[in-house]
Amino acid sequence: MKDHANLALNLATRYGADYADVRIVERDFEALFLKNRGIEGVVNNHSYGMGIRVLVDGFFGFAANPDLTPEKIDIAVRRAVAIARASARVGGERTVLTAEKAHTGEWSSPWKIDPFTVPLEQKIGLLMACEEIMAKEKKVTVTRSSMNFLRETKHFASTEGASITQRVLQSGAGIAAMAVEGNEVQVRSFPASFRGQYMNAGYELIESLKLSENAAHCASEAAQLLAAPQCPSGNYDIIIGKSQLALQVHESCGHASELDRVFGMEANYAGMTFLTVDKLGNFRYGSDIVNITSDATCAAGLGAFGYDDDGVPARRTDVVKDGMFVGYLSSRDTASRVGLATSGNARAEDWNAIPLVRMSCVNLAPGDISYEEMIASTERGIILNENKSWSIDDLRLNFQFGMELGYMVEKGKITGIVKNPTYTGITPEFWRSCDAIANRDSWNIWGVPNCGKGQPTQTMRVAHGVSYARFRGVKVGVGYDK
Amino acid sequence: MISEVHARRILEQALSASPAARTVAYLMGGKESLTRFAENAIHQNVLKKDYYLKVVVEHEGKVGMATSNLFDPASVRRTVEQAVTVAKLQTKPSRLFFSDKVTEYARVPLYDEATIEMSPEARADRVKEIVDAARGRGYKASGAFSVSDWVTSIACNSGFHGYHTETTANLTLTVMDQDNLAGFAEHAAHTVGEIDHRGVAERAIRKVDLSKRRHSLGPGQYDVVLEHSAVVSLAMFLIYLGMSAQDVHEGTSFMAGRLGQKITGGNFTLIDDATHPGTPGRAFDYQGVPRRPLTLIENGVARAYAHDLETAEKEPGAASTGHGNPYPSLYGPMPFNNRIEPGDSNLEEMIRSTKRGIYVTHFHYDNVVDPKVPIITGMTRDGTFLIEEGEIVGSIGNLRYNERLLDAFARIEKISSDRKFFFEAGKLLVPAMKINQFTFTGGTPDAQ
Repeated sequence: MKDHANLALNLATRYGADYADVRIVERDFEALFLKNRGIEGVVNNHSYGMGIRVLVDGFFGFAANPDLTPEKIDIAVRRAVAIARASARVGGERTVLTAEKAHTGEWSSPWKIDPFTVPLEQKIGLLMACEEIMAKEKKVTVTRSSMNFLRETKHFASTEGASITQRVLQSGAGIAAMAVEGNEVQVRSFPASFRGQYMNAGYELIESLKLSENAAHCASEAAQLLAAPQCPSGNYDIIIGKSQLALQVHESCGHASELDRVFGMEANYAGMTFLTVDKLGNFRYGSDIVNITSDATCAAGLGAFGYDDDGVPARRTDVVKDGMFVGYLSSRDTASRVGLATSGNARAEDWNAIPLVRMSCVNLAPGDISYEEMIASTERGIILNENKSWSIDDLRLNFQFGMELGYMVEKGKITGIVKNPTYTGITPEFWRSCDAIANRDSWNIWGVPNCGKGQPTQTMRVAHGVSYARFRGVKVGVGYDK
Repeated sequence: MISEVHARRILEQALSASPAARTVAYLMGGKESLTRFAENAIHQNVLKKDYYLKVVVEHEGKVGMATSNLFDPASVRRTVEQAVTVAKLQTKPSRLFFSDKVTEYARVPLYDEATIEMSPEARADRVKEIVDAARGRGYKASGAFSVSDWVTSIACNSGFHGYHTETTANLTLTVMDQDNLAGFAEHAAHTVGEIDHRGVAERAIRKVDLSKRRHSLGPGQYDVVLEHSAVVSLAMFLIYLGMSAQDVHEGTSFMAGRLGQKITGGNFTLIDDATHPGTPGRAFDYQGVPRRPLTLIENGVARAYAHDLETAEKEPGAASTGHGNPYPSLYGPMPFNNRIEPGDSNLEEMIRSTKRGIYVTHFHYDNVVDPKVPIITGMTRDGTFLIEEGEIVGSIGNLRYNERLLDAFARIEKISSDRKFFFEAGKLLVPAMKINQFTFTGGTPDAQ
């Protein structure tokens, strides 16, 4: 990889690039899908290629190719430089990169058991056991379970002298039971919706999830939901946690604090943000117990890394501190436009994609109250966990979420479940209504493997560490109240 | 682009290397060049190219699959071996669904050399024209202009060989003024020569001009005039949520048990047809079955949904409709060449006929609230206008909708005679529509 990278960089300089970086990535991916106690599919992918990014007279060009012969590398570099020169024809703001030391080094994500060495029979056996348990619930019509594993070696090098090799191993798994009766379709997932929990981890994660121990409960709740009352409509206090709070942080803070949105770089697709530069340091985003950080150093989080795709070492950045908006997620080219240091959030989906400002691990700091105390101190509310549906406007203000179920809370006690809960809000009003955050006892880092952004669209694996949080007077039950 | 001869050579190597009773090899991929611009400057300009070989085997009654983007003979053999290894490790029997018949198929000429060879300079020059037009009004242009090609080549040891290529060109544009009042327009086609970048710029700029007079409008039920780009969002969910036999069998599709029943207004007809000139496509599906036209909803009546070989086996009297996807087909068969039949109206008439309503350019972040009813939510975006007494009187803030999709399509008052083409949900050809009493439940703060 290093020889190919050096060749590409030397050619880039020769052809007129002021700066160039190269990513060569080798990736193996395995996924197992079971449905209704049968094997729906076993996926085994291998991919290898190079992406070269050049900066010529202040404009970026990028070309990617899977063929790393010297001739093809030469073609890719020439194309990247030609593309950069073509960009200059339109004029406009020239790209400047923040000053960064060129790093050399290696990084590996933490893992104990290499999932690619675990026999397929063992993996299928674990999932099949879950399928058998879920299928015992008569009202469950479809059972689904899956695992997937990613192994990636990435070499990054730049004309500034950076030379970094990173190895990542990621694992994930989940189960779901679907119950259908008439016009009712109800799903319960474990440990999270959309195929489960994902981390930078080996097969030890799969074993720790206790999928089979929770399969019966998962199926039972799906069945119960068929006859459960519809979530009421009105203003309620809500307690959200697990993958739902992770997604709330993701949509209303993670994306909202991506600096490229401020400059309209996603205006045509993913949107902009209400967190404009004039708000930095003086805008109340949430109540004063809300603290949100971007942290690529929590190594086990799905979005963690050693160095971003600008070659910047993983960093921890305050985004919201004591409720005030204090920081952005940025890259070298975006940070320079506001005179800040980069937060180290330049990430590309794969070798054939250009780095964009992406989340790593965006975490809500735990509070000082236990989850049990939070429930006990709630007079009238709903607990909302696994996400089922999500939507937010192009400024990251108006959002609406749907969950798999809600637990009603009355006078500090859980009194029953409701189906099809939804809630809606406006981001800063919502976060300012946060009056309690659960402590570290219930804090966990949840993987979100399917964050989409960019044109062409790139899917990124990110994570969010959250416990539970309570929000006062939230509008609940939208969509069903016609 | 990988030629048919080259693709066939790689696929034949894979078939020859396989000891399995049944082997299907797919070679797919292409090149994409995309010029992206924001605030009147090109900020991302990329070229990517990748192909992959997927080998699926049915070996001793079990299915295995492997893919790789390496095509040297040793790598092809390794990919085949991996697929066979996976098959051997399966613990339960499984079947590889692929047609036993070797059918001749029509070649569909959708490949344009000039499109995929369009230089970055030529793309930049078109972007410059757009940017200059926006800058001339004091506005900022952001958008994406892409050209791409895609090859699908399939071979099965039954003797089937299929090869199809096509090019695409796509321009999306958002223009904003200094207050971030925005207008959006787009154009998609199979050849770059058809892309009217000046027309797209004019439409987006005109919307910003129209946006200057601001009005406040809160949530409620309003008649809406939906541009084609907005109709696409609703149509996509109708197709994804209803039209797969797999979802029908699992009970999650609104089509389940409703064939022959009226499910939308009588003026609504949805057809999947890869042979239609408006939504042309590959003549064979991924299971080697010829693709045929399929009327999904006819004058409001549910008529059919898509089958592949596997779902057809589960339904007495059913046959594959030529909508099979490659293994593992997690979401089942799906129609990808859909058109909504036109009416006799147009956008101007729809506006004139509206006493008080909302003109929607397009929707944003639509998602499913309930898959069976179905209920969809999303936001308006980039050109949302108030109509009063038959005229657009100015812009309003963006609103959130929550709508029961079939009910909405039952309240279509007018459908335009003109239709636009989109690379969405595969390919979609849709008209503009006026729908009565569309439900908006909230909005961005300046809309309250």
